[in-house]
Amino acid sequence: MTAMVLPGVRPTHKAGRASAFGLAGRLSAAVVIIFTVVALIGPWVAPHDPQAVDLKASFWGPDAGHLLGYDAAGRDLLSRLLAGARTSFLGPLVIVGFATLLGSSIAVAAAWYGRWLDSAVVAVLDVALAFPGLLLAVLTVAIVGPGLPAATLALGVAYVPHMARLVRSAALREVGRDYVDALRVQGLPAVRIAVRHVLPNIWPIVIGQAALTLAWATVDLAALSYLGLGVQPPQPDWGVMVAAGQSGVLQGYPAESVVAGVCLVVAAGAFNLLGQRLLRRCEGARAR
Amino acid sequence: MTLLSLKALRVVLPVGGSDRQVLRGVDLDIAEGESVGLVGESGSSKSMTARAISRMLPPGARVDGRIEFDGCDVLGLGRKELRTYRAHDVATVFQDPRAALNPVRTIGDFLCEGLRLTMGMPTAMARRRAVDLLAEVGIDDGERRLRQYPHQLSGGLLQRVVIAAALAGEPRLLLADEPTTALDVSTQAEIVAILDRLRRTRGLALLFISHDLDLAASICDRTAVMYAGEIVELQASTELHRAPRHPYTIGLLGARPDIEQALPRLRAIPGQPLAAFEAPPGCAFADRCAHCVAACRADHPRLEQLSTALVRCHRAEALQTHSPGLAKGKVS
Repeated sequence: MTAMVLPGVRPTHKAGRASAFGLAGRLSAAVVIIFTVVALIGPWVAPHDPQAVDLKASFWGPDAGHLLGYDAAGRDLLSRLLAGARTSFLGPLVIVGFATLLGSSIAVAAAWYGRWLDSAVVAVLDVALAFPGLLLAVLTVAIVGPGLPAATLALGVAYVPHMARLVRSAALREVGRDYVDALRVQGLPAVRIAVRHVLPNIWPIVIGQAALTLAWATVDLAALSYLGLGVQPPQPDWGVMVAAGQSGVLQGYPAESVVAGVCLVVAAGAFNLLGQRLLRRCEGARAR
Repeated sequence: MTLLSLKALRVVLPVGGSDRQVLRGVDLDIAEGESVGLVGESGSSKSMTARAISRMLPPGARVDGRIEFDGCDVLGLGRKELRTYRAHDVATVFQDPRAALNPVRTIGDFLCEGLRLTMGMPTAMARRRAVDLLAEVGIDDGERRLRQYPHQLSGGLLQRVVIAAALAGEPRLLLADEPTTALDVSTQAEIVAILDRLRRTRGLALLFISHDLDLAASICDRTAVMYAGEIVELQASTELHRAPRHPYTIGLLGARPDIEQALPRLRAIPGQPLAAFEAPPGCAFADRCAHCVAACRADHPRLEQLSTALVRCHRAEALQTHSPGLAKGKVS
């Protein structure tokens, strides 16, 4: 028999694991963990009230109590950055959670029942994929009205096709395996086999794709907020801060836009790297 | 009493836009507690017969004819009845046990899931029952095995686990689809012995699918030989070996290598086996048959009684009376 495919079984060999994941992979995992912690506790550890306006301190440089200085309205930049992490970083998590749940449900159902359902799903996905996700989100927000809930939902829906397409191909391969037939002839219900047996075998791919999608979602949600369609000022958010800092850039005080932008780039980059490493690792497990 | 009855079973599969016939009218009865062998080359649709019986044909398959299990129409079963039928009446043992088990779940999960869901047992009871089932197929340290993963077990052990799982629903018919093909020869003998013992102790009916005539004869009361999607000969296994009637069966028996005889080359059947959808209007075996006459190409032969056998050959009777030396290729 040729090499067995054990998608869910990780290599127990320590060196193999490290080389597959790499320094960059571990570094990005660390960044994601740190950012998540900040997003969760940020508003409480912020040294000052992120909304407190002090017009005398407008664009004032960093000092002992304010490590990153002040923005145009004299609000503490560090506090706004920490508080803004919540929407900027946890918002994408909600988006991706939604897209993953809906996308993989559709995908597994299509792969399982096949035939006309599969054809219909593939046709709809192809059309949806031809439509840029951000554009779809902008359109939705234009209809529903701006705000974080609308932007989150719109982006969540926009990512469903990406998720569904990848998961469908993985699920299709898995559904064709003999063990699925073996469970069916035992008389087990279809939903149970799909959820308890097929899904665990395609988990690694789902997780990898979810991490990649997180990178896009971070940038796209920030873009919506930047355009004034997502999080609304004065609520702190990295996308909002990049937009608000623009006037400062013209006056020679780029701090606000730069620090928020750097945070966004680092977050998106970490998600991207992490997703790539995870996907590469499950491909490696397949190739063995 | 007849347990399973296939009547003029035809199956058509859609393959890339066109329809392909894979079963061309199979008639077969299996009595309660009887074991029947289904033998043929690759592509003769042996497995499709088993899949049709358990209603596991690929999506889009069109089935014609009748499948009766204990007098009940299998093709007409609804969703729920079908699950009960699969869980309690018919069990399947697959060719490759490694592929038949989910790699990320333990043996215990695999065995207990069926027991809990289809037999309604609580978990602790299911585990005890699973250990009993494993003991029945010759695995003594069942407790330990339940905690192991498929990759930790050998092929022979895994096939026993698959057989144990098949027994979980207390089935009355076991479909064994080349259960030993993926195993090595000594393990093969053990698995066949287990199947034979289970069939006798439990009164199980068995449909044993194999490409090995001798293996089928060793475990089966009757053997059916399939060629290109239909049964060409059916008779008691011992009779089939002693007096094969169909030229194809004779060829198959003659093609077995014999260690007692030194031959310059093996006697193989000339030509390639046909798939069911390639079959000509006449006899499917005509092109490879040494005894082919014009009638063989013109007319599709029917399965007819000839002394103890059912044979699908226009010339079976003539060959039997006029050329007694035909079966010479057979090992005595």
